[in-house]
Amino acid sequence: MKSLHWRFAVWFTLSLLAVLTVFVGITYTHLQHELRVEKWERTQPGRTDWKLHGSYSESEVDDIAGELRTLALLYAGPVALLALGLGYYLARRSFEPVAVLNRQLQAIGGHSLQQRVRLDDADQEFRSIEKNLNSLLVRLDDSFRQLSEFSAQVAHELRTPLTLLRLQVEEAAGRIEPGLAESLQDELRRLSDYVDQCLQLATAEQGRLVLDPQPVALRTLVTEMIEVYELLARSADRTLRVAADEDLTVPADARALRQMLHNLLTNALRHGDGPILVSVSRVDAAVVCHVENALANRPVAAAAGTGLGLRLVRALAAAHAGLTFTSGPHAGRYIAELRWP
Amino acid sequence: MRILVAEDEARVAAHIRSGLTEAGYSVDVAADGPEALWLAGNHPYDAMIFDVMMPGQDGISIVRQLRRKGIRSPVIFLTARHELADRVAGLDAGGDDYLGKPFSMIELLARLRALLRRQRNDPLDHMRVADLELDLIARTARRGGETIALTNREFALLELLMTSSPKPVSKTAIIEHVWDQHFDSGSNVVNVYVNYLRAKVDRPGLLPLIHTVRGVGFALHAPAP
Repeated sequence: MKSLHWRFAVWFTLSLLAVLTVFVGITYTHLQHELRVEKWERTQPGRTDWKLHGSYSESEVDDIAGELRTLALLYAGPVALLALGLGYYLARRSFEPVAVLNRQLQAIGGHSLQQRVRLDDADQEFRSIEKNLNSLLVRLDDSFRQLSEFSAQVAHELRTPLTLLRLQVEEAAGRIEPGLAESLQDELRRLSDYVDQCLQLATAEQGRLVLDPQPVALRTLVTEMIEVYELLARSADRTLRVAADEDLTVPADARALRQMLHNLLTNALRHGDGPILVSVSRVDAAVVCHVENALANRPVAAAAGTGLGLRLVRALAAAHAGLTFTSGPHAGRYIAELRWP
Repeated sequence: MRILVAEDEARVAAHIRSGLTEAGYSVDVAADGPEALWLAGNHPYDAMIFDVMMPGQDGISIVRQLRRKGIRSPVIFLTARHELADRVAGLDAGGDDYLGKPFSMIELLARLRALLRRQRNDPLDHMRVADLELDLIARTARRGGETIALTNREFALLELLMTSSPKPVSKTAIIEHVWDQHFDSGSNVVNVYVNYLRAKVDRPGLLPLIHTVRGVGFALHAPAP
């Protein structure tokens, strides 16, 4: 039995039944002894000098003992049910602090680690759990704060020299060899983007990402951002098509969703082959967005699932309640799927 | 116009100062939080550019203090932290715009001009280079009296080129300003969009205004006589 409440109720019932069985057994044995072995003696009313001695017949003993057995069996069922109910009620009452703890712990997220749990009138055993949980929360809060400060420091340490480099390259662009200037600017942008994605991934994986989920019209968002990817596909002699019959609305942080689609489309362009299809559809009650393309006959396709881009998509999807992300080869095509329930 | 720049990294501050001075602003630079707070509290500035992470006192709490004192000059935050919570904290404290590091000087100038335009409601609502006019409120472009139909992206691109005119704008700055994303082969995308724009702005028979500056990017200016 999975529920601790029911397990305690069953233990309580079985214990009670065991005690009652022993009690009834002793009573039964003792009664039989009294009826069969011991003689009875009683005075006659009005004749106090008369003393009668005798014993029960075998059939009378069987009758009396049988009645005890029948009654014991007859009451066993209702008593067991009553004990089960009582046991469940007592277990629930005793474990109420666990339910209170659970409710309080569920309300504590990555951004509210400064909250503490409270069990004011609980038993000593639960008070010690409360104390230990609160010290754990203090340690977690400290670690999260340190991580956050560390990420900010890393961001600062990496982005400040990048800013300086960028401003210097921009300023010197007219004076240095044009090909070199363009290449420097491209590489700086690539490096900045890599730093952005690494820091975003670290934030998301540490559960510190703050999202602003709003209703987002998927087809509108895809249509708005797709133009540039169509252009990039065309320049690689490929096509990109959007299939969305209706403008389905999903709860999402628009910026994070754009980032996820950007990473999926970039992967499709970089690692895939053939036409790219972006579809938005309703499957049963779920809203599904697919980015799919043919698998490339290049070895790089095998590494497509280990890249930073997909890892970031996975982390961003996990930060949205209910949103699931899956990706992989399916019937000769590579399909990345975002699914809202 | 007088601008206060608060940036603790001296070399970055020097580049910002030089870029703003070249664009015609007079610039004061503060190297830490307390100096920035003192300068902002004692001199009238048309706009302020604050780094968020500074020694002494961070940019966000300085701006909060300045707003409490009634100092309303527009503020752009420069920050190495790009997360939503940081952006919200900056804007909540009274900041007007937010630019993530590493940034382009062109982008900083474009944001500053837009901010000053909003603040003063001045004639910068219209921009003009040679016979090309841009109405930033109605979001329309005209050349030689004829209206040019532009998509949102083409408009953003033209606005950026006109803002920095006659100086060239790098392809990287264009990608950031127009798309806010990094693309592989991003240069090709920019080339294609500039060509779309060129086809609309520099129609046959008109003097070409959009010029390719090799190694740098694109510039918009009247051709040298």
